[in-house]
Amino acid sequence: MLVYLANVPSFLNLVTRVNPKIIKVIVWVLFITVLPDSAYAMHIAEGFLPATQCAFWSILVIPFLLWGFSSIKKVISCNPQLRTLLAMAGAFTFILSALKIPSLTGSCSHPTGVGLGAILFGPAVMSVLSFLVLIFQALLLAHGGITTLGANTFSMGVIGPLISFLIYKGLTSVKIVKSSFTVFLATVVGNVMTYITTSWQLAIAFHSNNGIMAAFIKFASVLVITQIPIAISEGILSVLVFNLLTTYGFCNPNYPHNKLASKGASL
Amino acid sequence: MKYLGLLFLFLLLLFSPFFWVKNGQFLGSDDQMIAVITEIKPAYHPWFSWWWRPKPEVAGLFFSLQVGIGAMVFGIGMGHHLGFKKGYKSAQRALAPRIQKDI
Repeated sequence: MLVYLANVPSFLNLVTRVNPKIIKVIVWVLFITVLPDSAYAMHIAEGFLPATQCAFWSILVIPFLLWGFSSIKKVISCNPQLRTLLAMAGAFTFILSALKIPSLTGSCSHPTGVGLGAILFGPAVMSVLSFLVLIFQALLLAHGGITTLGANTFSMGVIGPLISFLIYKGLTSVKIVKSSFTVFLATVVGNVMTYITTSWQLAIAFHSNNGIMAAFIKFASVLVITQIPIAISEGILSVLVFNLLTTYGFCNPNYPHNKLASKGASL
Repeated sequence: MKYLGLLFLFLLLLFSPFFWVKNGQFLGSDDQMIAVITEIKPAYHPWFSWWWRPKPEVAGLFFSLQVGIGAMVFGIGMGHHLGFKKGYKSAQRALAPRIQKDI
């Protein structure tokens, strides 16, 4: 992702050389057609956490982001060829977090897609990638929010990938189940854990005299139950993509691309 | 062929809610989340709001743009890898015709 972001200026240069006016026209048309309207978002919406808690989650997320940046640097310096796969993991998250999928509860939610990247590169990398996704959605789509960016990154970019990664590593070392099922389980549990974390964050912020636990159950019954069928869909899709990558040799350690992968790929 | 079954299962899961839930609204679960918040604390109002909010149709545009960009990057990565592999194999074949190592 970062690598491709670095290539944006040259890409724009290419486009502007063709016709500099077209971009301006497109931008203006976009801004004229887009007018404010009320709609809320899937992650914790803008302003829906007290300011002190926004600050708390944001500060909590910073070390994970720094760890993620150093991890990305390590992966790329150990093996420059792996940055393609890194960009693809980011793209997978980017695609999946834009898909609003109907659930059996009669409401919609969207998958996170961080499990696959966490399995391939370790949990730290995904904190940066999901931070980028959340910024894109907060700025352009008013989906999520700038103030709740820290809390959302913590649930989607830290807890979810961490759980996925631990489950994948644990089950792979024990070797009781097939790798496809391991990927499936890691992704599903990671996804559900993301929304359990969101429910906790909301319950801590908003609880009545019945206590935090009662509020958590209330939030979880809305968020997590909707999420379970979607998590299963995401698991199946992740298995599909993981198998695709394995078949074409993306993860083959003997392949010249990935000679150094074992050094940099995990953590 | 191995993937076809999985793909079918994924699509089945994707469309099954429309048959299971007859008169569902299919609103975002975030709206329900906000309903719960206002139920617990009726006096709460968001203390900050972003300066713009795209209309639902335009939000659809941006969401599809997001999917498009993601799919583009994914495709570029896939093509890059396959091209590299192909080039590597043919170079290997040209340089050492007798040692055919399968990678």
